[in-house]
Amino acid sequence: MIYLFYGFGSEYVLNDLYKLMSKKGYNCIEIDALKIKDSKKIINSLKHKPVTLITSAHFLLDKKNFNEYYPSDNVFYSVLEIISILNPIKKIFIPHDLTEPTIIYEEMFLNQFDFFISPCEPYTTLYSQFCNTVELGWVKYQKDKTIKVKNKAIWFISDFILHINMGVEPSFNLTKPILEQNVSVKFPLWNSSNEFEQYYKNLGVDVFDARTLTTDLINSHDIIITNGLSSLIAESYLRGKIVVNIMENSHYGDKKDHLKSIFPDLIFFEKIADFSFKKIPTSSSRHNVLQPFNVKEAVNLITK
Amino acid sequence: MSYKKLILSKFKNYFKKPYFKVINLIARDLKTPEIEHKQNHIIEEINNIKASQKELLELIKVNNLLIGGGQTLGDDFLSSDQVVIETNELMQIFLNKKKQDIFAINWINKLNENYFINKSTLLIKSSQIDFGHILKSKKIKRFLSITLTNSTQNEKFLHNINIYPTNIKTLSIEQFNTLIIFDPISSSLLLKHNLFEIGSKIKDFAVIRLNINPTTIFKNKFFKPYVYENNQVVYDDNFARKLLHESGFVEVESNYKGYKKVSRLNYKNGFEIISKASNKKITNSDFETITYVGYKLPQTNTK
Repeated sequence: MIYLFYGFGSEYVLNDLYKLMSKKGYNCIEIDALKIKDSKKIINSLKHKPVTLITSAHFLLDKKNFNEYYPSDNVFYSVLEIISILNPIKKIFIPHDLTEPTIIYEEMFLNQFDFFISPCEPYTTLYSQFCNTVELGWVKYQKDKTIKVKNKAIWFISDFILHINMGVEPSFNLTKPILEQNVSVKFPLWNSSNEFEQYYKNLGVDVFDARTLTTDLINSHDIIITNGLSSLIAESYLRGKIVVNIMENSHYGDKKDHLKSIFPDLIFFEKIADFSFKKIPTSSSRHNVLQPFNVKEAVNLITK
Repeated sequence: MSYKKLILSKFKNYFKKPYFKVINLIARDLKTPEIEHKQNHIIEEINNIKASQKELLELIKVNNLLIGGGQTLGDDFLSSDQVVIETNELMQIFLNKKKQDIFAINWINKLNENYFINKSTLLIKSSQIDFGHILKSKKIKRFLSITLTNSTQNEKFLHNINIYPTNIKTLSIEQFNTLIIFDPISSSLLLKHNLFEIGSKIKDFAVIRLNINPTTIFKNKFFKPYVYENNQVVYDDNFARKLLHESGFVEVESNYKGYKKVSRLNYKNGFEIISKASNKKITNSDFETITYVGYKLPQTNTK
């Protein structure tokens, strides 16, 4: 049996699982379609072989779809195309986003998978109408680790493409009213992250390396600032933190009401300039309900 | 006159008066007129009840239509015009059964056997006819039909569910390989509600018929939603595709007089045409009923 791990860039969250299974002697192939120039060749070489597909990618994200958002020279298939080509014996979906495990249209295709590895409720129950769901905790959350931090609040900047498009200086000017209130910042791991990190650092902002584990940063701060539809909203919220969401310069589609309904204590600020610690409760009444990823059970499920 | 007849006539004359006198006495004693009156009254009442039953059935039908309209009105994305269209479609689904039956039998019989062999199939129909034996003859594995009726009371049988169209959303149904909707009006009504998420229960593909303006097949992505003429909803080909993709099908294929057209679901624009027939001038602007196949997995450039 070949175990094919498949995903795209920062949305590929299966590397630890891949490394563990490879170490245990399973025949594993890892494809991050943004790192491999032509992953179609590898996929085509697996035709007529017994394959178990494990993916964290959006199902419809083929080359055409991907290029409409993030132009790339790489050549790759979408998850649904891979299923069509390889007809895998087992298909497992492990979401990379806790706030929105599936995006537009995707729920309708969950029945193409044998298992949806659910991070927590409400998804375990919600998606059980489409396919088998097994709750094994949050794939990005492995163990609690506290790191030394300077401020009580951190802003995980999302919708980074908007910042890349506007440029580093306008981005800094936009975020400044929050960052100057002793708020640390972390950018997503992206091609331009370095440039942004350096610029912000030079202007006195406390910046964490984009490669720092977000789980550790969430664990180490009291207040988590987010914007848009970041997965970190859910991750921080479910871990009992005070979570703020900045609406200015953010994309929600039609999901803002969804966000409000599943995270009733989420604190919204319409404008960046509105943000003030005085408007935020000093402590959270919620507890950590998010479980670390149960790797052992995941391997059992994939291989049995 | 014979001797016998003469005697009989005299006998009758002689006994006529006392005979009727005795009979009337007996009848009065037995209250026969009263019974006859009561019988007549009962017959009249039965007729009244039958008339009331008929009237009541009509009222139920109207009531169901109103409930349907109400449910439709509950969807705030529908305008009042759309509600009128939907109510009209409901009426056509309920009333035009006979017309569809023969067509449906022929159409299903003609469908490619590959649609059925070892597959489980969900058939949505408005006809009361049981298509089970036709499908069994095509080596089908499992079969369920959903019959659209004007009763708001769901009736569940082994291989059939009778249900009011907009109540489909309340159904909990298992996974099927294929979905078939042969009646274009039922398809139209259900697709406008994205098939009430039935697409999420289909593993392989759906075969769905719709009334289309054929001139629009050769146009690119732009579309008008639909036109409503002579109590008939007629779609632009690309709008039909939009509805089919949104109902959970990644690739949609049609074949109009040998001209194949394929579209694929797209995050950004909803869908894109990936294979289009070369332009053809069609002068006939009347609608035609076209069969679409919606696939759950991409078929193009993957084999």
